Amino acid sequence: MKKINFLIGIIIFLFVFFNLSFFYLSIKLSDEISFYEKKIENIHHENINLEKKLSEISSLEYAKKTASNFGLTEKPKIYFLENLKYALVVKE
Amino acid sequence: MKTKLLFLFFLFFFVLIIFKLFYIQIISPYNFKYDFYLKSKKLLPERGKIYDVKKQPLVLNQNSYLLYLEPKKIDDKLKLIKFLSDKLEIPEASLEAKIDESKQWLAITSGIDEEKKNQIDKLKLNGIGFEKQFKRYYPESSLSAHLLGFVGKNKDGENIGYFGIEGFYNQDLSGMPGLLQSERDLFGKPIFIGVQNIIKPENGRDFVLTIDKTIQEITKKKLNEGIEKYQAKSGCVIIANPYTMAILSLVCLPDYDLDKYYQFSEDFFRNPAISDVYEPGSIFKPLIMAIGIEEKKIKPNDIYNEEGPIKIGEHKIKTWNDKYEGKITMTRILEKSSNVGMVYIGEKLGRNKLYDYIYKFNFDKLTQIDLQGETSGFIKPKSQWYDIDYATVTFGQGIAITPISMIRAFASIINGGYLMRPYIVDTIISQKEEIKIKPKTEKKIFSELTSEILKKMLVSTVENAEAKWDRPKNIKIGGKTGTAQIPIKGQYDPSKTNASFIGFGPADNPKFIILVALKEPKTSPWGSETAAPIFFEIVKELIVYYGITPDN
Repeated sequence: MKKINFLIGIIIFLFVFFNLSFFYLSIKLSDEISFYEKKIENIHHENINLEKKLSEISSLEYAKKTASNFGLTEKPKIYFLENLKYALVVKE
Repeated sequence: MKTKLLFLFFLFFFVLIIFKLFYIQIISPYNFKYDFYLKSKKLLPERGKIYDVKKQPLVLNQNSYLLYLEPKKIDDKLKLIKFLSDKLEIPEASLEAKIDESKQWLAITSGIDEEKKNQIDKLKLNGIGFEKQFKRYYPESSLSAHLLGFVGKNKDGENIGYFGIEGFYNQDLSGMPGLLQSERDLFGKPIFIGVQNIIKPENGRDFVLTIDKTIQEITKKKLNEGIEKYQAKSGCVIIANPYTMAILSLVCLPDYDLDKYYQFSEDFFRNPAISDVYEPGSIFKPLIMAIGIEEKKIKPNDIYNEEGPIKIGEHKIKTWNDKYEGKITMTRILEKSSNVGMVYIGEKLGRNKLYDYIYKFNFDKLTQIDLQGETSGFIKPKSQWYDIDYATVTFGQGIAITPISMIRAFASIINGGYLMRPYIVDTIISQKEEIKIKPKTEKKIFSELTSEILKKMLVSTVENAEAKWDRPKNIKIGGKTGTAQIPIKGQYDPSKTNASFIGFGPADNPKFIILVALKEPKTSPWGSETAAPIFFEIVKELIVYYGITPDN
């Protein structure tokens, strides 16, 4: 009789133990799922930002702005020399 | 005794729990639904992106936020209103009127970018929240406003494309939303053994256009300079591949800012290249010439005696400068753009043939270009044609057509005689497949021979034109000028014209066909002095871009 009670006690203990472990693991997994859900969303968010930045840098608009900053958008000015101070001297 | 008391104590609470459970599940079950923990979340698809022919982005998505308030959580309402009014540029009175303290959640404004969101977040005010959304981003700004269209809202507040590609392909670009059904606890974490269903969203399809953004940039710059120089009211340039009618560039000015479309009136959204009809004028003449040659009524070297004006009923038809050269060839009729010469060709063709051919070009039908907002041209029913109509149509007046149908018809006389359907989208890319759009031949109108003859005549027209243009050297370009008076209340206003030029090059194997159309240029009414120079400016850039070498 004592042995049976002891065995029943151990079985109940094991059931409770596994139940609690399973419960704990499921909560941990839920935590991980939540964590990775947020991470995926953040990475997706970041990807969109990076794609935007990349397209900005490779755009004609950006090239125009950069060229303007370097003064490369001005048309070349033509200078006409009217009073030449130096001239070729032709040896006779 | 103590043990019994302890036992009774726990038994009491145990029985309480059972009674409560019995009440929740049996006595009043409707207050506690079985799906109490089941949360449904709509998964928004990403709107499809739009690229140019070289897969350079024209339209992308960017992160944006919807700002909402939870009025019951606001600590300092005045401080919040002042701050938000300053950041969002919304009047304080409007904000205050919006905040209803009886509500749990209030949407204030959407389309807030990342930078602004971070600025608002920094202050850490209670009662403010952000919901993630997407917004369109245009890396090339408004380079292709009329082509692309914009994304606005419908009456239900959902995103919808208007005009251009966004409007025409709205369904494909929108995609399909998904659904996530998940049992969650109070902290929002999934209940592992609960219901977890997901229907993945289908992102919108991406589009690769036939448009080359470099050519688009060249076109817009030259058109803008031209409109300013010649003081035109507006203008359009269409560039296409004459063999396929793939549109390489389409610009109409004035246009609008795609990011701030709501600040512009609806008139700006219309794409005149496809939505406005106009009388084409002399650029129509090569079509009539081609018909005459195709029907073997005339040959390029046939002679016409240009004696003077022609009388049709009570109307007198003259040349543009009222000068007459006597005996001239058919080619010379095009070179000097002789209206009387064209009337002669029309008479040789006969009314029935003339009308039937004009109908063949489908001017009164949509070209079915894949842009929203297209209009068809207008051809009067045959029963309403008078003698004068048969005469004026030979030089492009008395008929109203869209610029896109004009360039399509003109392309048919240089590409071997094929009327092609113009198109803007080259490839449609979805998650599963890539669909390549093939050029579509509507019908064959002319023979190869007629096409070759017309190309030569048009090259001669450019080379022997009255106006001297800054043409690229040693590269054969063909084309025709056009100056059409604008009808106002049934009368033609001589001071107001639609000035145009249509041309192609290199003539032996054309890589491009270009139509330049200016509305009411003030410096000169003539196409040869306004539209033609813009055409040649664009051609010079295209020659460099395409690496076209001079003819031997």
